[in-house]
Amino acid sequence: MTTAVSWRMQGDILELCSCNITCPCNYGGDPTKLPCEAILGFRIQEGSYGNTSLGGVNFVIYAQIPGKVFDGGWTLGVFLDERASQEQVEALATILSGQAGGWFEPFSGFIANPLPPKQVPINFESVDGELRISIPGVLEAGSERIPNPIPGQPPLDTTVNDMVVPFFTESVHVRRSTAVKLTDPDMNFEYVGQSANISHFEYSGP
Amino acid sequence: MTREIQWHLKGSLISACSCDWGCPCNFDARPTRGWCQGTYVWHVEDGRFGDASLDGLYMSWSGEFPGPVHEGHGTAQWIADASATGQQREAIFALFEGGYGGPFAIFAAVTETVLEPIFEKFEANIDGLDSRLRAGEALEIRLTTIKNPVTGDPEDVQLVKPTGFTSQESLLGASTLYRFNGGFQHDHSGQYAEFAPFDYSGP
Repeated sequence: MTTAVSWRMQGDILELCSCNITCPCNYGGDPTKLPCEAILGFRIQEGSYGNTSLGGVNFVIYAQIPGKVFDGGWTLGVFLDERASQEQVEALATILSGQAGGWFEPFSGFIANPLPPKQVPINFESVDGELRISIPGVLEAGSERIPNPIPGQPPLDTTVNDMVVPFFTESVHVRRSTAVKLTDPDMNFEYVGQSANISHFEYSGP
Repeated sequence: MTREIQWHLKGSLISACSCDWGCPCNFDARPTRGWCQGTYVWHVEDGRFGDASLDGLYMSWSGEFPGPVHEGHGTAQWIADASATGQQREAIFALFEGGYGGPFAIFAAVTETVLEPIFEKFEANIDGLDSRLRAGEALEIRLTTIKNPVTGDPEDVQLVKPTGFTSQESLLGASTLYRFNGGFQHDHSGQYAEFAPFDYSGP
C-alpha cells in the first residue's frame, strides 16, 4: 500500500557491482557474470518525508541477484546511518520498502529475501570528485577514473545520460571500483577494478 | 604523414560490435569478451575531398582485434560504395589509407592486415536507432532502441565523450541483426550498437 505522505530526497550516489566495466544491466542488458553482487550508496544532501527532514542521512543498499537483474529473486539488505533519528529511520524504512511510491515501489517486487536493516556508522566522502563509502569492519567501497589506454594521456571522464535503471537521475560518470569489500555476516563479496558509476539523484513520491 | 588536401565529411554513423550493451570500449575498459569484432558505417550527407564531392556516399569499415582496439594487431576490410565515380573512389581510398587524418588514420594505425576492399551497393534507411542497412551479401545491420526491461518502453540512452574519435555524442542501442560476410565473418546480432552524427575534416 502506498502512503500519501509526500517525500523527496536528493544527493550523491555511488554504484558498484561485480560486472565488468561498464555494467550492461544499466543499459537494459544482463550481468557479465552471475550472481550479480552490487552496492548502491546514497548520501542525502537535502530531503524530507512529510515534516521529517532527511538531509545529511546516508544509506547503503547491498544485494545479491541470482540471474538476470529484472527476473527478481534478489537477496537485499540496507544499512541505515547510525546518526538517523527514530523518525528518519521510520521514514526511510517506509520509502525503501516501496510503500511510499517512487522507483522503490516497483523494485520492491524483485526482492525475494529481505535482510533485516541495520543501523551502522556510514562514512560517505567525496575526494577529488570520486566517491568513497566506509562502514568500519563491514564495507569499504570507492570509485576512480579509468586510466587512459594511451600512455601519457589523462584518464577520461565519459558520461552517459538517461541510463535504463531509474536510480540515476542525472548524467552518470562511468568509473571503475578501487574496492568493493563487503564483510557482513549475512552477505560478503569483494571486487576490485570492476564496474562503478557515480552521479547525483533526485527522487520523490508518492 | 598528413598531406595538404582540404577535406570534410559530415553525416550519420552506424556501428555494431561483439560487446554487450553499453560497450566497455567506450570507457577505455576491455571489450566484453576480451576481443573485439565490429563495423562502422558512414553515410556521408555532406562531403568533399579536394575537388571531389562525396555527398550521399556510404562506406564501411569492419575489423577484428585479438584484444582492445587500441592494442592493435587488427585485421580490417573496407566496403566502398559501388555507386562512387572514379574520382570519388580515389578520394575514398586516399582517406582509407590513413594519410589524411581523421578517424581513418587511427584505424590504419591499429590495423596490421588490411584486406582488399569490397565494392557493394548500399541500401539503407537511416533513421536513428531504427536504421537498417545492407551492402549486398557482405554486410547487414539493423538497429533498435533498448527497451526498458520492466516497462517495455524504448530508452533514450546517450553517450557523451568529448574525446571520442569517431563521434562525440552517440545514441546507444542494440542490433537486431549484425552480420559481416567478407574476408572474415561476424554474426553478433543482439549485441551493442550505436547511432551518431559525425563531422570530420582535414588537414
